[in-house]
Amino acid sequence: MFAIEHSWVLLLLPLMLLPFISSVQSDLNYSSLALLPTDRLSQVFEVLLKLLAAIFITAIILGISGLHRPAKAVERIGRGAQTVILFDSSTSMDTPYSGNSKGGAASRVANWGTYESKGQVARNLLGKFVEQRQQDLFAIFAFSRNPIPIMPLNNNQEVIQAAIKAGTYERGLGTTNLGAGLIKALTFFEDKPFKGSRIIMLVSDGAAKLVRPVKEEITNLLKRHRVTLYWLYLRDKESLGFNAKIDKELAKDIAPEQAVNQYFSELDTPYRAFSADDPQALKDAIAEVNKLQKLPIRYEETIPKQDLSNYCYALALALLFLLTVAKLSEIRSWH
Amino acid sequence: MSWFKQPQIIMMLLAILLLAITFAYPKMSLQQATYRYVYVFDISQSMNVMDARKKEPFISRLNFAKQAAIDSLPTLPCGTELGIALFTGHRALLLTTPVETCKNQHDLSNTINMIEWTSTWESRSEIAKGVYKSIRLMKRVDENTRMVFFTDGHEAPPVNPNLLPVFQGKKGKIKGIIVGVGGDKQVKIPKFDRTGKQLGYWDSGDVVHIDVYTQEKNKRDGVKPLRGTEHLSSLRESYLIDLADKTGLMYHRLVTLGSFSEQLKIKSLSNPKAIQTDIRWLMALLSLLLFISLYLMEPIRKRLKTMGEQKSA
Repeated sequence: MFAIEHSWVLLLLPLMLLPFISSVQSDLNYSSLALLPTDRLSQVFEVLLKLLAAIFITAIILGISGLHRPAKAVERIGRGAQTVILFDSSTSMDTPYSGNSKGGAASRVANWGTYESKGQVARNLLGKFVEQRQQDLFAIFAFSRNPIPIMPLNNNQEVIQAAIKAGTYERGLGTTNLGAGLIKALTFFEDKPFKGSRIIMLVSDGAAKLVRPVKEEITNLLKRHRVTLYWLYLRDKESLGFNAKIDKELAKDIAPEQAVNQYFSELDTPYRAFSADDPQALKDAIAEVNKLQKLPIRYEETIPKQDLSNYCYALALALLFLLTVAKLSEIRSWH
Repeated sequence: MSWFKQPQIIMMLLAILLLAITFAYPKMSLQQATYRYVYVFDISQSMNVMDARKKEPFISRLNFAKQAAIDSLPTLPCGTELGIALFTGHRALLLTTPVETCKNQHDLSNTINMIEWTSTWESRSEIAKGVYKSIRLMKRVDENTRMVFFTDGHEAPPVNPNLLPVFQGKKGKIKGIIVGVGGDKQVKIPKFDRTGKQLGYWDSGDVVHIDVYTQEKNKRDGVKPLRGTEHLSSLRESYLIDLADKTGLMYHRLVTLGSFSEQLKIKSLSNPKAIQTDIRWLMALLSLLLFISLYLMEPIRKRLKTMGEQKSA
């Protein structure tokens, strides 16, 4: 409930006994003590003043020691979605993005770092998306040869943005295991209570092949965990995209994303692709998530540490004021 | 006697004033040591060996590194920033760029907790290249970023001592610590399947015992494949110290969580930062001292008074 920042300061606490040992009241010269009547009221008053002084000392020491309520997590209910962002971290995401007009992209073998890659474009776009979804919870996963869990659901914008940005400093990793990545992200919802609309936001160029058992598992998991699948699709400079009309057999080899898109479209669970080519894509994606927000969402929020030293100082100030008034009204002389 | 001639009253009023000032939240700009770290975790398979601690409870090298990392968070001064990365193969992968540790302690701990050895993207583990490339990554993030690299120093496949990768960066330009995790004895490396079930241990026949260059040469010369001890693993401390030496990093062996946290707070790794420091405590303390001195003064005053009276009598 309460906690102390600098517990060693509490070693000063015995000082509160000082008022009972010593006195600040001035002595009066009087001819004989025996002549004075015992005054119950003033005796009570004296004890009271000592007590107030002791509380004053205690309050001020507690203030200095940094009395506070520690941070704690509380459950809140809002309107938002639970989104797992799933980044494709394969090397194919390093190639220049089709919608890019900067010079580097034009050269055939561009030097990484001299142009904006698909991965970088995607992460910038995602950063903006997350920024506009303050109430949503985001988890972050990535995949290359294996799935890479990065952070669980949270709504700390700073760390989510830090994870999105982290992938823009270096090249991608290697092979693309889209299936394993999706399965890992989907099983993340396992055993978690359904607390709001669930979304997997796949960020990929789709240069991957899914075999039948993997497809079946993905289909089942999407259904079981009631997940909506969004695909933020990044088109390669040379890639044909979803809609180019080519022979199906040929597409298997030169446009694997068509097969992946086809598979997703045939799912019973909700699916939508957003092409990053389209300047509307970001707005579309946000509008789409807005529509899903009909369900109230439960989420954990961390209430930051609450400083209580102010209250300590306020109490001390009030007491000191009283003590000073008492001191001022003290009788200094009978004459 | 009017009140302002009474030192006690003046002191009390002064104490009131000091205490009242705390409500204006007085601040002082102080140069404070803060840090900007990226923790890099080696997630190669040898990090699964359960020899990170000498005593029970035994814990794997990776888990001990994660625990040390999480435990270090509350000990770092506020204003310190921390990022997280993984290492396997021959390079690191940055998971988050550095963020402030006090405000984000909870979510940083969660991110460290999520780290799994199964995330690996290559089955090799080339430590020297990994350290060099991680240094390059730090430079890209920000030159003031210090690297903390948790590893056991186990190169797989082994490196040819005559063909060591060359560090091309400037020695000492990027500062940091190589943190050695693991025990001194050679022990077996556990082998897991994809679901995380242990299948036993890596066998001598499963791994390469010599560097790729010599292996190829032996093949050409018709020399039988060598059997060595590369399926066993211990903390390769002298190798890591050598790497640290080449790159201008420090070396620290992870033994206790406390000594690791202390190592992180070494002055030479800090970035001085002007921090607005709350000095309410100072006002309150002065106020308290004034009040207490009333009690300490009074007996002295009385004694002086009686002494004076005795003299005059």
